[in-house]
Amino acid sequence: MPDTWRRFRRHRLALFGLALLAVLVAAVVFGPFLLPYDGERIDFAAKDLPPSLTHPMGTDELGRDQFSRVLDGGRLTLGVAASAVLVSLVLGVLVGAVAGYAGGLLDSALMRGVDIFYSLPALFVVILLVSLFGPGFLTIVVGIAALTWMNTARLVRASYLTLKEREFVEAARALGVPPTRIALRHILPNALGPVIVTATLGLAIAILIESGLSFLGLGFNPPQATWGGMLQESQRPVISEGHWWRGFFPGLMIFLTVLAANFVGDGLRDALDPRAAGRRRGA
Amino acid sequence: MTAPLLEVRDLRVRFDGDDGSVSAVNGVSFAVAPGEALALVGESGSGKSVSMLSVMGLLPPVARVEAGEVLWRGRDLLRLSERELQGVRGREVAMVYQDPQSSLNPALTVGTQLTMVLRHHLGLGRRAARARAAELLALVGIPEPQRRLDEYPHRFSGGQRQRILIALALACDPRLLIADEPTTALDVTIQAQILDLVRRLREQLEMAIVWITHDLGVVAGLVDRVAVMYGGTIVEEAPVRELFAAPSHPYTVGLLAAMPRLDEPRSARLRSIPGAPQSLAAPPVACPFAPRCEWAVARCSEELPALRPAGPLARAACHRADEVRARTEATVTR
Repeated sequence: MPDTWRRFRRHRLALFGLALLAVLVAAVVFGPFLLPYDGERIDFAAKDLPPSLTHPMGTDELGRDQFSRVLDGGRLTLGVAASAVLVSLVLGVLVGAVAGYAGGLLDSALMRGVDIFYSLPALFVVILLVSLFGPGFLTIVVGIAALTWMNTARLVRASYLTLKEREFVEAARALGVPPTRIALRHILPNALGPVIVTATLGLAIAILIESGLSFLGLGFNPPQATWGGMLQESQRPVISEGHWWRGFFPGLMIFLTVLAANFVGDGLRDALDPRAAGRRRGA
Repeated sequence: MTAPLLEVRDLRVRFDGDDGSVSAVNGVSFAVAPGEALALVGESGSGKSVSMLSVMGLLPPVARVEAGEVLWRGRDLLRLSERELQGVRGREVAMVYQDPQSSLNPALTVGTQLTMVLRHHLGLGRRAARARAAELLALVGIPEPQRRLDEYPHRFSGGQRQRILIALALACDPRLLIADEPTTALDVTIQAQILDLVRRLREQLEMAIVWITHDLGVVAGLVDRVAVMYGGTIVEEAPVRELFAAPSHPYTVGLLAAMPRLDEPRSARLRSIPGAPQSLAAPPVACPFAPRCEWAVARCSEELPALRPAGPLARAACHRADEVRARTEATVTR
């Protein structure tokens, strides 16, 4: 792991991405405590203001401070995205590891399950979930996870298939290490590299899906703000009234987060895969 | 002889492939006494590794034990469940593999790998396991063991990694160490160091050793007895001195003649045994070595010779063992 960090540090964009992510997270976690406005406080005296020093991101038609709302919404957006990635990761790793390590019938059964999830129309699933359980934090996290875990499962399964044939696994068996412990302690650490990379990229995808859902009105209900939801509310004001700041800032936040996550993912991929690092040096 | 630690009786193993099956081990029997060191010598495909893998219950899925018993202190290992075997492997019988580069987990520190085994088999606590792991590294001659516990395998040299593998195998004080050509991947000086280490550890820990190799020279100074394998059977078994002094099987004679010697002119070409070993589709009905044997007579391709006494402490599976022995005894005592 120290080697990984050393290689990661050499990757400028990744470091930049990591710093950006840190700033974004700190801002949405601590920001709302520091700002003078409450994101949900209505003040008709200050409605539809363009960005200024008092309202750096302007206000909306109810006079709510956009900057506060963006930070408030960021909490939910990032929280949903992180939770969804976590759920999707745990599920994917579990299914992939069991399938790859056990092999045989169990493997076939689990992989057909993956195929089924792949072939489900994404929008339909989410609409179904939301209409059944209502648009809550849990529903949306589960919905996003249900759409994204299969990649991880396939990736982990492939890793397990090759890793379980490696000699150190055989050597561990010869030392009497039981199979579950081999799968967890010996193989998992070797399979986790690519998974961590997909996780960072998955964060970006999760944010985009959540934004998409909110944009379609399937996300959280107003007045609760999320970046995607704010983007959706901004449609009319931006198009018919020219209030560009309504859409620009939430969009900018999504853009920055996704960009940062992608940079970090890229850097991690190079740092965790020694062959990629070798190519880099050779080139 | 005291009750053997390990006794293999008439072991037969087949490999089922897509293009027919192969008889890899055809009725192998041998015994290892407590504290004794035995070498299993033979070329690739002679069944030496397969025999020992069946002892460990680690045969690949395509292999099938057709008959035989593997008695470990009286218990038949072939009849144990996988779970019971896990308690024997690493605890009572441990194995060191050929390739130190790939037998250690690259993603775990050496300390983690050692403590995992210690905690699993001996139920040691975290601290005790770590202390013992450092002791083990010191035992196999790794300097600064405390510090190096936290390093990953790639920070160690090939010889050091083989030492670590030996430490892993010795972690729980096994009674038997199976070494599957552990020195082949190392260069000669490191090879000598590892052999020294094993010799020292054997005296110190009083464990039995089965050393699998294709190189008679490597084991000469290490083991008590040698079993020579050919075509999935043991063709000769003898105390190491007797085997070198007066081999009774033509194949052993050939193996010894094929070794480079210091006391011969350097221009002499290395002798080889003509022909190549064949893999057998069925258990042999005649001597498997007959097609390559300069001593072969008609009977050799008709009747399978049994392993029978051929000298004071030697046994050989050859119809003409007595004649072969008489000849080798008569020639220079090397």
